[in-house]
Amino acid sequence: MASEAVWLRLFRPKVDWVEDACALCEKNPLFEKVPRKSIRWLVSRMHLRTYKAGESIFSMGNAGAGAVLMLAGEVSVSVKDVELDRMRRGDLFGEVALATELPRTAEVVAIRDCELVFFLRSDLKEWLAIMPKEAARLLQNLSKMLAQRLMDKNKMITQQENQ
Amino acid sequence: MRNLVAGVLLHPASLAAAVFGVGLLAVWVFISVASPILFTLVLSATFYAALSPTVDNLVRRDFEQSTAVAIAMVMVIIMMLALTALLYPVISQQFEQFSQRAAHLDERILQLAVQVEAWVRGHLGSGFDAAQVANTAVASLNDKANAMSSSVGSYFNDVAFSLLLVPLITFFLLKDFRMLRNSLMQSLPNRYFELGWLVYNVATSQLLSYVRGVSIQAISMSLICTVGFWLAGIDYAPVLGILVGLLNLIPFFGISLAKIPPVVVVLLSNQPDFLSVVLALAVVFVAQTVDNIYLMPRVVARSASLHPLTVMLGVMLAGYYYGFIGLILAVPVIFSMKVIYGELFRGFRHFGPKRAV
Repeated sequence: MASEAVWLRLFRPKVDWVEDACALCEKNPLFEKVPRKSIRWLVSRMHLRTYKAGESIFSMGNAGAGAVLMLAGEVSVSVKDVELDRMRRGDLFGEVALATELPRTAEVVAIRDCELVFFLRSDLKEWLAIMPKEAARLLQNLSKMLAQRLMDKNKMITQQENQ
Repeated sequence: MRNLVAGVLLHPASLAAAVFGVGLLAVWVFISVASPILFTLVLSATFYAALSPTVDNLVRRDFEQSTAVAIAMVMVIIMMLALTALLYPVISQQFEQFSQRAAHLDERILQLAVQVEAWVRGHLGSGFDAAQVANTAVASLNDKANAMSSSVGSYFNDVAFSLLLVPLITFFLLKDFRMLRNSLMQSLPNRYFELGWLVYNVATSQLLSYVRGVSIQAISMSLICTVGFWLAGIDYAPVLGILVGLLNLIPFFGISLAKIPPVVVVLLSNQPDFLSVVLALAVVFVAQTVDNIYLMPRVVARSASLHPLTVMLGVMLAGYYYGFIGLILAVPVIFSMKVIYGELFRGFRHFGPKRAV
């Protein structure tokens, strides 16, 4: 559990990180061809969280509320104690939870102190209701990313079977 | 032993009960502290829920949030002023008529008592003092009317007070509610941040769909009854229609209570006759049939997940402690508590601390 006081979280100014997160989103394939103005609108509704080194960000099997954008720090993604990947500033993970409430498929733990921005499914739903065109573009990008990942997994399984 | 205690304390049901208990205590403290402006807050929240889609719609059309809120508020204020200007003459005229009629209530009761006394004397051979019975009945009615008029007076004072505050609170809710909600959710510990949002989203979506369903039910019932009473030529059709629509929301007892106001109005009319009573009851019966066959299964089906005994006991206790408002709000409150506890329990099963095995 983070040791940060409640009142500091309540009154933390937002503006500092919003511009930074906007710039990172613009470079991410999930936000490809989404207008900058809409990205800013959406990012201003996202949620900044800080994690200490060693703190769990989410556990395998938990229901996911949304995707996470790395603002600072480093995290380890693992399944059953086998490290699969490391994520750094600008990376986005857990995006499956934007589409559906399926359980998380991996464990994510902070390796160094991190600043993460949570992009929740409920934020996406609100955005979809208010700016349907832009949100549809993001959903299209999301489906492309998930399809690509599925193809990569299939290729990996085929390679393993051939070996 | 220590493992057993830890297992019980860290069980999802215990954790959910603890968080639910703390939440309930916070709500109770809030209601106690905010009781003088509770009516104002409820009214503002209702306006917020009604205006929120309009504001979102304006934001979609490239209006700034504050501008969109201001436009929505101005539109509502104009509509309220226009409605007041249209409805006030009709309501004041009906109120005047009812006052005149109520002034002759003692004569009507005396007349009825004399008729009953004559019938009893003719059939049973002994009678009673009709004037004394009528006086007692009128005195009792006077007491009740005085109590009611003072409570109605205080209600209208509340409304007048609210008229000043409601637009202001609604404006800030429309402008800043999301920011306030997000700030509150930010105070959750990291471990429960996602759980908090999942519980909030599921609970609010279920509660909103329930409230929407109940509102559709109440408005449909009020409209059907108003049109029915108007066609049947019964006085005060709109007021009666709204009253029947509200009474119908009370489970189990509402179906009987809803029949009382139209029958009383028919009996107090200039020429009360048997046919009018039958017509008044028929209108309520038709409306309740439409409600049971069409509205209930489609729009408020979710409330059916509550056990009938829970609903019955809840309604009786709420009615005993909080009167008419308690009767109306019993089911939504029990339903909200069930949804929130259920979601907390479900969440702690997935997010809770690992228990000792």
